[in-house]
Amino acid sequence: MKKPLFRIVIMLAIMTSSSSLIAAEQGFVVVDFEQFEDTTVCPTYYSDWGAHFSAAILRTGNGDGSVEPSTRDKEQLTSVVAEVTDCEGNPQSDIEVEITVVAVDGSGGHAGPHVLPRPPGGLRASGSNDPVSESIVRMSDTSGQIQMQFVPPEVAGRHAITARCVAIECFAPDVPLSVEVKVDGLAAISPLPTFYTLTEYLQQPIGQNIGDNTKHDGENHYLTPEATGVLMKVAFYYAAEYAARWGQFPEKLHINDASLPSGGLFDYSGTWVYTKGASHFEHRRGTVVDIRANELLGAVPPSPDADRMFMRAAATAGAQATREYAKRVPRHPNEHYHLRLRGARE
Amino acid sequence: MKSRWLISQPCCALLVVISGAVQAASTEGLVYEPATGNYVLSYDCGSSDGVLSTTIIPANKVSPAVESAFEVVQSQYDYGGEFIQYRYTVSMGASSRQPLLMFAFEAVRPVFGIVAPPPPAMLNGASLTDVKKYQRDALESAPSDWKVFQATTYAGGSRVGWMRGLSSPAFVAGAKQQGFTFKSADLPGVAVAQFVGDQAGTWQFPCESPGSDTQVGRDLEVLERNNYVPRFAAAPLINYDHTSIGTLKALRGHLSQLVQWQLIDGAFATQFSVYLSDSIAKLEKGDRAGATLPLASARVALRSKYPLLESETVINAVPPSPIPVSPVDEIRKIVTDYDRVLAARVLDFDVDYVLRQLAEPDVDVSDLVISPP
Repeated sequence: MKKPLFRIVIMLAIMTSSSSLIAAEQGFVVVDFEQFEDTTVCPTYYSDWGAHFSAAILRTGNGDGSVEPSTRDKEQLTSVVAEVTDCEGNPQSDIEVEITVVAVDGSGGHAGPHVLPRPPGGLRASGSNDPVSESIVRMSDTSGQIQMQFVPPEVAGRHAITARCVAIECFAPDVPLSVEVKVDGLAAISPLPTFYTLTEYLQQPIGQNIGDNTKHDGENHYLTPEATGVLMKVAFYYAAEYAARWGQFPEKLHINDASLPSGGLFDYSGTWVYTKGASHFEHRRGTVVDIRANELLGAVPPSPDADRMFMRAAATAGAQATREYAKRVPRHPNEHYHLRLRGARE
Repeated sequence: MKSRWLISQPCCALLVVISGAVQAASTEGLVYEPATGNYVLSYDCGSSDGVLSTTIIPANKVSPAVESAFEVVQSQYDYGGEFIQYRYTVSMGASSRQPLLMFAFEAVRPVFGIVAPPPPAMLNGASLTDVKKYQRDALESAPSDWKVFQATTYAGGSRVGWMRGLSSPAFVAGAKQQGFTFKSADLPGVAVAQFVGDQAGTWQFPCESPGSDTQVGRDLEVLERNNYVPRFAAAPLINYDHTSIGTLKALRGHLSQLVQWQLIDGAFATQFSVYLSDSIAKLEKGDRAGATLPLASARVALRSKYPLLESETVINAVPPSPIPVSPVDEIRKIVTDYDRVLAARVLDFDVDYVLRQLAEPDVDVSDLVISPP
């Protein structure tokens, strides 16, 4: 009788509130054992490779392997399960495995150069109070599993989680499982060229996004559809107030930073972490947008009349407008309206 | 320290703020100044700016009162039908320290009879003439010097209200205005009308406004959430349902809100709820006639509990408190006899409406004896 060859499979499961099977999409190596004559032993096919490992997402909370970014006040925990099996699918205990999480470069709208290493979030063993780490080593339990928690960072984007045996050689798929850290439901702001613009058209080269910087080129105009609807109303009501008073349309509103495509921390200076003067505290969930209101062309003029009109337009639409970098002498170039489109903070 | 009410840092009483300019300060805090009703906000702007301070003028320096009226009116269109007309009269108490900018209801049922902005799909094609016409219509379908507005909120509810015209004389203490009107197919409940004083512009911050990761940011957030004066008023909250089952269920659900606001007491709400449930159960069995008896009993119980139901309007305007802990707490502070009568009137009206829908409009409640449901 042939001696069974040793095969180990490590499976990672990201679970939040529900489950689904998306292993094939996430690179799970599916082996058809029917092709081998003797299914009671490990296929000789693998014996050329020695021991073998693979990794896959078994279940995800919302079915697409995503989780919301953490905030400064709240960790968005989600569970990760690694499973070790032999080549016949039997759980294997006491196998030492290292699980590592890495943030994928350029994902989440952070394609431009940033100043520090990107924070990848972290892992910790379930039920422990250990600090999170980008890489942890644990032994598989009697069911062949290793239970962990993935704590996503404040910065959204794709994250790759891989598993590797520590003491023995393992097989792992070429494509690691990925977890998308994102705020669901954000979409590019719908155009409304009669009342607002997303691109510079006076001072800057035509087509350049307002508020573009090298860190997040073209990625700063994302909102929830509901928020875009409120933005449209604010722009319309402002134009109506202005037209009633002055008999003509006002300058189109110039839309500055909203949120990044996947939401999360908007570190406009590319620092990866919230820093006063270098990051937006809000602008994470697609419900806040900045409107140009300084002395540049295309801005809501810094006059009491225009300010009252804009405030009334926001109040009519149920939004909340404040003016930031205001009352400076000389005027600050960053002066703008901070418009909370759901009428409250994120 | 009587002259100042401190929100967070006691040391902030040392701050000196000159209106209209950003000032350097030593520590963070949000300090209420009773003399002006304003707040001095000081917070860390980061980098080389350090702690800067500015004056925040809240919009809650108004002391309004609102009278609600609602009645069934017949449609003027050929196809007949009826709807509910809502009317409001607003007066400004003598203690008001700001003109009234606007008042609005959030999350009400759909309303009509007032001008609405064009839907988003049509906004791009709007011409200057279209926009001017909207503004003119909004003014013309409201009382003189006011314009009406309605919009879908972020959460998908309906927001409706009136705003003082930009060039109109200020609506100040002692002023009174009637004629705020709209129509709805849905029945009244008790809603919170948000009265917003004219703070003469947006709040202005020397840098990004303080985040909720700091105590001063959390204090400011409380102020933001409560930057209006709440008053109870009748508004379309109870959905009309031709079977009446949905209407009674909505009314039953509304009772808990009335109890939470202390507009009716819990024991009576429980009794009233049982009457409604009894009627709903009979309707679900197709017993329309049987469903009327518990409703009639509910009306009798209501009139026994609230003899003021037929009394004249009583308005007790109270001055706003400086910074409420939450809207609910603030509302509880201002519950008046008028508000309780308003709640009773709303319940009475809705039950009576359902009774008429059940084709038993002539039930004489005075002949009925309250029976256990």
